[in-house]
Amino acid sequence: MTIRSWLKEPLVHFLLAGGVIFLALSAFDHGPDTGRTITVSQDDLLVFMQGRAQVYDEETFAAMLAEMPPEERERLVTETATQEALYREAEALGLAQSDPLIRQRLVQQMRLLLMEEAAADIDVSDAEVRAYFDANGERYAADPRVTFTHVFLPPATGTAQVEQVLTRLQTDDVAPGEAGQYGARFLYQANYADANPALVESHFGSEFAQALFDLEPGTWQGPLRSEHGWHLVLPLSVEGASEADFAAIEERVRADALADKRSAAGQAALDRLLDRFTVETEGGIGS
Amino acid sequence: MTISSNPGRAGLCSIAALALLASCTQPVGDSAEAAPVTPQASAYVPAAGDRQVYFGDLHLHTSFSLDAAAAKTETTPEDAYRFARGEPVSYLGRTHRRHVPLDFLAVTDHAEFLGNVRRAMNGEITLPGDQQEWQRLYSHQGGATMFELFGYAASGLFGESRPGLNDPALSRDTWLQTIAAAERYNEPGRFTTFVAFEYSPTFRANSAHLHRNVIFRGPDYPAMPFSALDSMDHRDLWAYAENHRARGVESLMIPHNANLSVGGAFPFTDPSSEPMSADYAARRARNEPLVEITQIKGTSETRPELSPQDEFADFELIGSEGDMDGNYVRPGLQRGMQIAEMLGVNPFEQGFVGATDYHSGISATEEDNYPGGLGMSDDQRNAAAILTELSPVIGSPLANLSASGLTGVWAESNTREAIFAAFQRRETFATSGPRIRVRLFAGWGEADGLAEGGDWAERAYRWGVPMGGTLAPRRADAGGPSFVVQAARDPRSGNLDRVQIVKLWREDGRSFERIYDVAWSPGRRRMPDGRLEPVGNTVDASRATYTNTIGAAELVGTWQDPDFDPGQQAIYYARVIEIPTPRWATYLSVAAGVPLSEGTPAWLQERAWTSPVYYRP
Repeated sequence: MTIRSWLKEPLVHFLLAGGVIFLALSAFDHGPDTGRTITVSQDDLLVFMQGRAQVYDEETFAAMLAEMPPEERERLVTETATQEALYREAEALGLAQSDPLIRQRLVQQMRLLLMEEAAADIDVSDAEVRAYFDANGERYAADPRVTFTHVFLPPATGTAQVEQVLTRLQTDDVAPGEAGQYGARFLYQANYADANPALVESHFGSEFAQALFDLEPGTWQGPLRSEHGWHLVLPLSVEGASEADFAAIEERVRADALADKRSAAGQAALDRLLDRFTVETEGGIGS
Repeated sequence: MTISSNPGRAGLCSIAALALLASCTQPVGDSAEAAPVTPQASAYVPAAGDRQVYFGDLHLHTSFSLDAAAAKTETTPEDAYRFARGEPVSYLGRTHRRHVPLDFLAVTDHAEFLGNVRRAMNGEITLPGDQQEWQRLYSHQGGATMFELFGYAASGLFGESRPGLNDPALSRDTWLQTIAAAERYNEPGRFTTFVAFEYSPTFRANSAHLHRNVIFRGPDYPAMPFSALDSMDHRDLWAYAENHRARGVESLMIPHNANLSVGGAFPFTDPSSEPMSADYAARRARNEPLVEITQIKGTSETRPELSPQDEFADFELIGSEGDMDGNYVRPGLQRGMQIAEMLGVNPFEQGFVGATDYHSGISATEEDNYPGGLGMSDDQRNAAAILTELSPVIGSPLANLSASGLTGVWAESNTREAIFAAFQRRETFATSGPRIRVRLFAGWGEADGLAEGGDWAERAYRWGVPMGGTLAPRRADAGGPSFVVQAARDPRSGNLDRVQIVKLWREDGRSFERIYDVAWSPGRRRMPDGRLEPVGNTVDASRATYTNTIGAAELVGTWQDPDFDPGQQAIYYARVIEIPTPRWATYLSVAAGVPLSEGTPAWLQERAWTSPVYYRP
């Protein structure tokens, strides 16, 4: 499962939302309402240690805790409890209401919850994916591509010799990996995989590129002339410029369509939220 | 905890931790969808030894970086990948597009305050204090007000926390976005992305940069990047990497801007100022197989003061302070050999990469297509300021920054696995921006004629070791090592002037360097002082043009070391020099009608540096 896909997984969003609420509730669930008992568990210690170190690796910290001398562990319990006590006092004083940083964090979490919740149930139908592809086809259009190998012969090579090498390549049906020994060193590459016209042009010139993309794959042919000399060419596959093959990239289109739809749904959820309120302005700032 | 893009590996734990800042270790969740980590089926059948060259950038910042955001860069990692793949991307209100796409990219945002300066400026984080004052800073249009904002934002690089900005929970969200963007744009066979970050400790006392880019092989990643706020001591970064490596999360670290390290890039000591131990040296060699030699803030190969015999040493330099031997790669490599004599381990046995370090999110290294790289700091709408005003940052006009550089790798395919393996075996080279191709092989015995024939590279791999390699043990009857080097110009850039071999060696407890011209364009002779006739110069600075009427499209040479002492360590790397072409600032000067300042060269000789080949007795 890719990061991308699990970031979009509805179940993840659901658990995420649930987790936040659970944590919020459990923060108040450590003891009686009077809040005068602080119970510290092993899990509390681990959360505290990781939060303090800003390193999240429960395994390592659990091992550290297991080997901790008693007096150090006691200190840790005290620190964890102190933190909890401070937290409860802050709650009682309503500090959260007056601190802009905390307010901001709550706003962020609420925004995240709202948008994730709105996006959670959303899926796209096959028809929607197809429609998205039709509307955004140019994003998926593919350059022409050619995969080929070539045998290079310097410009001074006589026509008869060029033909002779070609005949040998054809007669022996020389494989791409064996072809190098039949020609001279070429300044760029011997093999080109999925090369687009711009690359071929930059290495061989535009005339060569045009001729190359017109060849039928499968056999040694040529010679093609470039600015460097002669080339006997074995095209392995030639794909013309095409609209993308929908079947081949359907999953990518689906992911894009889903991302767009989710983000629209999230925005709509924010709009709906605001619709539940009446916004008034004071002092003429609204007009 | 590990973040994974593979099935069933801690996925839900990770997302839960994002919201809860808690942690869990039970792997939960699965999916039928598999990660596309294997190369797509292709008709391509590589010949034996026929590794292909791929070009990319391993150092690029987006608005997720504290300083890029403060400079009003708005691009995201997704924009960065789209731009590198050749798509048009908007930056500072204009649309830009590379002439030639890249093959791979790592987005390396600063781990410090990751994502949070952007959030603050977007109103998603309220920083403490007078909000009107923040609004004044956020609405800067460059200049002094921007530097005020920098002052607050950049504190993370000094390891100092700032309320509101140091928020690991939010940074973790940004880290997940960083991973998601890389996963989304990685397309095996076509375009490779690497999840990465920059660890950026900077020291108030002397402004020394001891930064490292951390590049992950994938598909598993740590829960958080490691920042200067975690530790200013890079041994702790190594521990982070080593701990994750033990759990299968592979990474390597690339130090950069040696020129700004105030001698700290290649030291004799460890970060505690103790003499370097063999353990430190071995950990460094293991974690840091590569070093960045060129980028926007200057080239760190060498300087004329350090290499008076090197006629090409004065290349894209900015000011450096402190121990110069610790500031530049060439003397650093020599120092590595010296330390190896004492400890038995060479801590600085490294290959070379080039990168941009742009803070624009767009890796635009083409001199004639360079929109600036530092957000509002070098916004080209202020052409006159860039070309004429002294910048407090570099002590000269920003026109002296470089549109540099790129990394070339020789790998079997354009995939994470193949390219990362090339990093690890150091089969890499750096360029100052163009896609110059260069191959280097070293071995024992005759190399003449090896570079002939269409299958020469295949035979060369069987004969010797490629760039980055270590020479095999020498046969008793062999002379000095032989080298074969082939270079081809970037079809969109200048022809080639020459290819050189730079030799560094130790003798009688001292370090030496010597540079040999091994191939050059036809029709040139050696001058009486032994130097090669210069290639000439076709640059017309008043029109920002050049012609490829001089130089050569391809250069090939073989060379055998005539002064080899088998009892001494030696290092060899090739340097390929282009003919002169206009610098980016010359194009800007012509477009804006503002002359270049004295001290800003109108042209440069772009170049490539291969990773060294190492010899140990």
